[in-house]
Amino acid sequence: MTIETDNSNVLDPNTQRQNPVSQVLPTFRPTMIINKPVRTGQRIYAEGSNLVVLGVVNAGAELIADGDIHIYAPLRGRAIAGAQGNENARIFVHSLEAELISVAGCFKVFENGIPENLRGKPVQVHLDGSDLIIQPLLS
Amino acid sequence: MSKVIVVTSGKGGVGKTTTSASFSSGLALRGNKTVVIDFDVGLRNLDLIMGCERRVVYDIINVINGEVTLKQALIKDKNCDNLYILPASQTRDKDALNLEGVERILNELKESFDCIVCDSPAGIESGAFTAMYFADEALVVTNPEVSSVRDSDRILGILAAKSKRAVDGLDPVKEHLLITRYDPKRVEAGEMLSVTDIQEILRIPLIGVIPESESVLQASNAGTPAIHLDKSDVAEAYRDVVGRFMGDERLPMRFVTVEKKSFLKRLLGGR
Repeated sequence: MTIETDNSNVLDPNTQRQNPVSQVLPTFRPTMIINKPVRTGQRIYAEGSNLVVLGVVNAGAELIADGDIHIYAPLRGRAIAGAQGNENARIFVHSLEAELISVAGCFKVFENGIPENLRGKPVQVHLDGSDLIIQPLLS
Repeated sequence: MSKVIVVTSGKGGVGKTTTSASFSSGLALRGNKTVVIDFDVGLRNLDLIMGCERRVVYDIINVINGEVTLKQALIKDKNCDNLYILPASQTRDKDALNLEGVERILNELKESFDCIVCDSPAGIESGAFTAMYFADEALVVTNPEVSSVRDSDRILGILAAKSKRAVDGLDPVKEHLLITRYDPKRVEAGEMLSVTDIQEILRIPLIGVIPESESVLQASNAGTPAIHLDKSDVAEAYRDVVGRFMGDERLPMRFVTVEKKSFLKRLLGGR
């Protein structure tokens, strides 16, 4: 990440930065960002973090994340969020054409195709109890 | 600066060898010193398509094993002055190819050739991998049907992740999509994927569309690369591909729409 040094509005030079009191850092891993197409046979695992994909995810490709998954392109393969059991994980897709989606082990396949109202639409996927909910994102 | 170009597809029978033969001939016709290498060890075909099967004495495996020099194994093409063929072995299998040996051959070829075309075998096993590993550019041959497109997608993934350029962190392999056996009539009838459908999935630049044609089979059987068939659609399409590869981006994409027959043609019953 780059920080613009000449942008003096951001931080008053006279302001003293407070040093962190404790050295206990939260277990935080930066989001994994993929900016290329994910092609059939490829598997991407964002261990302990969120996953952001900017390229198309083709049929036969697999995205796995312990956190959330964001896909700003068509999802035609599989997306598995909350792979270690995080039930609050969500999947955000720009265009839903997936083979399979899963959150914390609850999965859905689209044997008879994706319902008309969701197919090719921007959606989010989350878990409600043991139900996998797919809803259109507000446009 | 010489270029290594792999002709690959994943799926078999889509036209890799036909394309390798015509593409390398086209490059040679435009004045590039070109060599085309058959990597399909054990299922040697390129020499048949090029019509030089009776002149094969030594092959790539002999060169790798140091039994003969490269010069002894290269066969001069009968149609083009600038073109040479390095045949595969018919009696060995893919394990006889090794990366070190292939790299040594390619480096030696780079000293005297402008373009090195590698005709990959089908599949994603060692033979196909060896053929693509050293590539600078790739022609990904795809038929307008779902299984071919998916296999091409797989190959593109491997090119992006496992080729030498990817492993060494250099600029990625330049990818070109070549659609073969395209039949605009069947696309209009909804029986075939369209160029747009294929591009929507693979998302790499299109270098050409080769129409489905009976003349390809005749040319193969006669041992003449299809690009030498005068006045055929296929030859024209391959010439366009070579033109675009050489940097002529203004060439219009032909053979992608159904041709309206003229009144006279219909009257004479031409096909």
